Amino acid sequence: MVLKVFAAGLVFALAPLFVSEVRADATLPSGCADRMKGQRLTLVVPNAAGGGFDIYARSLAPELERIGGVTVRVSNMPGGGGKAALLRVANAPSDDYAVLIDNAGDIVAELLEDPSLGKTPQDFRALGIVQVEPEAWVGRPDLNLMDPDAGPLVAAVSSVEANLGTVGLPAMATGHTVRLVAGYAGSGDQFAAVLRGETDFTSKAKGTALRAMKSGDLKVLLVLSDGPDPMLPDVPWLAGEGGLVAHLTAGLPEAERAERQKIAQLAVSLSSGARILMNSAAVPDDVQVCLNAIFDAALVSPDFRDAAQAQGRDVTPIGAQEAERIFENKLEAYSRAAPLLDEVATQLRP
Amino acid sequence: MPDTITALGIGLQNVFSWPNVLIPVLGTVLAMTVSFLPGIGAASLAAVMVVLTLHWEPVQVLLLFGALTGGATFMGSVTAILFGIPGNAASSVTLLDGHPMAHAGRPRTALAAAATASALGSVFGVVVLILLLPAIRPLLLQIGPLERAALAVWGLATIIAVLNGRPLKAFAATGLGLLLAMVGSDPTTSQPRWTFGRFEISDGLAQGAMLLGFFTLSEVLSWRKCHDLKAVPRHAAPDDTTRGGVLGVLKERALVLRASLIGLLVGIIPGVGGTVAGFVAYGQTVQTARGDRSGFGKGDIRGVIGPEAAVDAKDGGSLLPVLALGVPGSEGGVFLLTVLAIHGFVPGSAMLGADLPFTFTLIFALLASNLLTSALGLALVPGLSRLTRLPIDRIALPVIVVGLVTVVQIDGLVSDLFVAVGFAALGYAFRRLDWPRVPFVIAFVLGPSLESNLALVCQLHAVDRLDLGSRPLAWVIIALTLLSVVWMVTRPRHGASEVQRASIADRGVTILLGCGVALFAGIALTGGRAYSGYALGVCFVTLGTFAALALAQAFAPSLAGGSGKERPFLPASHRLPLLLVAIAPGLTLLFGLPLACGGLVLFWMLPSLRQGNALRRLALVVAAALVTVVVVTLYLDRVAVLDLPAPIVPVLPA
Repeated sequence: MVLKVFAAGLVFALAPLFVSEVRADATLPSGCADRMKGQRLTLVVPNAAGGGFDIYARSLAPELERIGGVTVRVSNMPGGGGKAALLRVANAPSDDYAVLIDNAGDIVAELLEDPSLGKTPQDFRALGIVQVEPEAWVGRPDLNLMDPDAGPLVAAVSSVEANLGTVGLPAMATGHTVRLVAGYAGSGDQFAAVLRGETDFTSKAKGTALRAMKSGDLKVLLVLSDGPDPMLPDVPWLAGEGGLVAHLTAGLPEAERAERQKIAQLAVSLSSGARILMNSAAVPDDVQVCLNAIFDAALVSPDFRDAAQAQGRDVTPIGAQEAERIFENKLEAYSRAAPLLDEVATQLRP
Repeated sequence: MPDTITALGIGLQNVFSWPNVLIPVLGTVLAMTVSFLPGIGAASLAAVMVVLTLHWEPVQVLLLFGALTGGATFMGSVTAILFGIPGNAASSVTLLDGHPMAHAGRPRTALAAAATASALGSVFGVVVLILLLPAIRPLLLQIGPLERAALAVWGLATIIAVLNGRPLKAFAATGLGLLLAMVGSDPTTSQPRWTFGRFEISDGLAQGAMLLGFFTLSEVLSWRKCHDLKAVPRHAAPDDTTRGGVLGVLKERALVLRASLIGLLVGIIPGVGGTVAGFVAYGQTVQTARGDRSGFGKGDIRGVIGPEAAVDAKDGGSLLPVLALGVPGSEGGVFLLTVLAIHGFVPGSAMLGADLPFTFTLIFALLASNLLTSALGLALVPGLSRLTRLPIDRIALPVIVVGLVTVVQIDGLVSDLFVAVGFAALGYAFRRLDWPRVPFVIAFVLGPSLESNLALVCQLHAVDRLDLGSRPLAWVIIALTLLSVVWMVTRPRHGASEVQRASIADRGVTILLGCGVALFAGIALTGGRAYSGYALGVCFVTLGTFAALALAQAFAPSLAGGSGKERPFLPASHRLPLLLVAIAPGLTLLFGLPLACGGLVLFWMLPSLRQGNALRRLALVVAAALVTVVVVTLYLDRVAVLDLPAPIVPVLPA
């Protein structure tokens, strides 16, 4: 009896998945349909089940299966702070189609800062980007960053090193004095620290910041972008004309203003989150062409967008070529910022 | 805005109306079933259900997720009691006394006590949750790093209660637990420390691997037809009844209340979790127990009641930060937050105001699920308790295989097998040499929370953001800690005095562990920024304790005590299991986990060829090994969806 009720419940739960409208298949390059049909593709998520990357991977999987005729599995590998997932994909044999979904900036940082991994950015190829979003500062509602005398400010962060680009560089550009309190366990802990009044703000991806703002006790104070954000039109942005840095440096000599803007632009490049899909560069070119086509089609599919949005995740799909360019820009920005980041780290370490 | 009573009524109606009531029932059964599978936690189930319920009505989704939160915990305790395998980290504390009870022929009593304590803890948690709702926001904002650090210190102070006349060993074990909990990276600087260049342990030694190795694998090693088994009764003890377990809990009402309060408090604190709730409650249970406390760790029913009540009371508490502030306090909280967002609920003022009926729907679904889990648990007690009558050496092999698969599955790292095997060896030594295991585990579990929150307190003080005068809750916890320490120190103590005798093996293990601590100290001294004052302090105090212990043992008389014979540290019957478990990680790296498990089965069963028809037995052994390979492969591939790195010698097709 219990089994029957259980089965009925499962059917009830699964029913919506089987009634989606039937659409024509996306066009794939010649030979790809046969080449990829029945192949197994693994989306490797560097976190435990749940959370942004997992939601994107599980929303994308059905579309990849429908378009490419492949069988897709989502594998969660949170070990080693995400490095296990990175190595799993980098070391995949050429006939094993494993795809990592992670933040482009985190991939670059892990590969450049940990030579013991034995991998370089050249060992990976970009297949596309699921979403790009700027970083934002979230804090107490009465805090006004347009005021040059606001501060000294205290930021709640997980670690100093992870927030040099998101807090250190922007603070250097605006001229605000910021102290970091490092060691908070996660977003929830950091928001609670602001609510308790221990700290003034924390830095999060815009989507997370918006969700925190909905609880009514926190405010998005600054978007780390170089122009106004359409979803947050009243919130100051960091770099470029009309931005916070331009406002706060208005009275300074031109050379110094330009220098601050350069730092602000670098902060925007480093901090913007790009949820990228990458596979091993060892995959043969003919297969890579097919994978690119499948991912390009799946990323722009309305079903993927709807599934992700229904779970509170926005989609800003970007194809393989552009994703590769964004990854290289990230790499270049990271190398360019290295000396500045060292300087910021020295100032901010508790 | 509907008033609270109306909202309560709507919440009750939502849960208990037809056919809505089916949803919490289904959710509970689903959570219980899944939590019985090795390594598949509530998080994996919740991830799948978030997607499957996208098109459900909001009330139905709240009913389901309330049930999933409540249904996952108890079944973990069942496996912990019966087989010594904690189904989840929080239930590992239950095995400390639950498993010895089952071993002593009292599985029914242990299971019934666990189910009853869970139910009472859960009811307590939910009732207090409802009462606290109006005042919850200011209360939550009182709990910061200072309070969490104080709570960790309180938990560590309970170690004094389990000294049992071996203070030096207990302090050494505590230091070792704190030290190993620091492996990974500094919580403030993120600099790696004591990782020996291995990225796999950059997040620390996996807690799941530690618990499975230290408790489960170390115990199973001694199950294989060894002399210890002769003492294990195949039949239930005469006083082993479900009624006995239920009455045992009802007799300990004050204990249930105390433990539930601890669980609730820990649940409210974001990021602390059920494992801490269980261990802190266990320490308090031992500390405040009346009468003889020497039975703790050997099958005292109070050691089951306290943690079970705390772990289930925690469920109610963990909902509070999510509902009131939108701050997830646990993995389950993250999913709940996602689900609330998907279905248009806004945590904070709305959930405590206009959406209060929905809040009560969630709370009552949780309560219904917890009660249903316990009721099902009680109903299943007779059947489940029969499992312990299976020949124990036949259970040992599946337990080892399941244990290895679980360890790998938690983080997707084969290297965690080495961690588990290392802790299995340590647990085995502790068990054989009668070192206290509880202080070690409490220190390991509470260590990270203690360190990171102390670091936060120091930083907040440095930036002038910590007003000690405005933290009354912290002072209450500190006062409780001091009171309990004073009370324990001044109480007359039972049990043997420190180190009357020491075996050669005991002395050897002390020196070996001491050398390990000295190595850690050397690395810390030359390691720079990664090693904070706290890390250095723990390191050198532990080193000093080991030196004192070694000295005490050097001057102690031999264990032989005149008989001229010592109990062997490693009996012949333990050697093969120990060897097989020790080589399992290497075999996994070489040939993959399925073949390693198959090989383990093969070598474990080979000695049985000497009995009866060798050819027939050989066929059986090979068949068992092949079945293991197939089952593990299918499980990893289809159920766990675990994508492990290719083995060095790829024998099986990818």
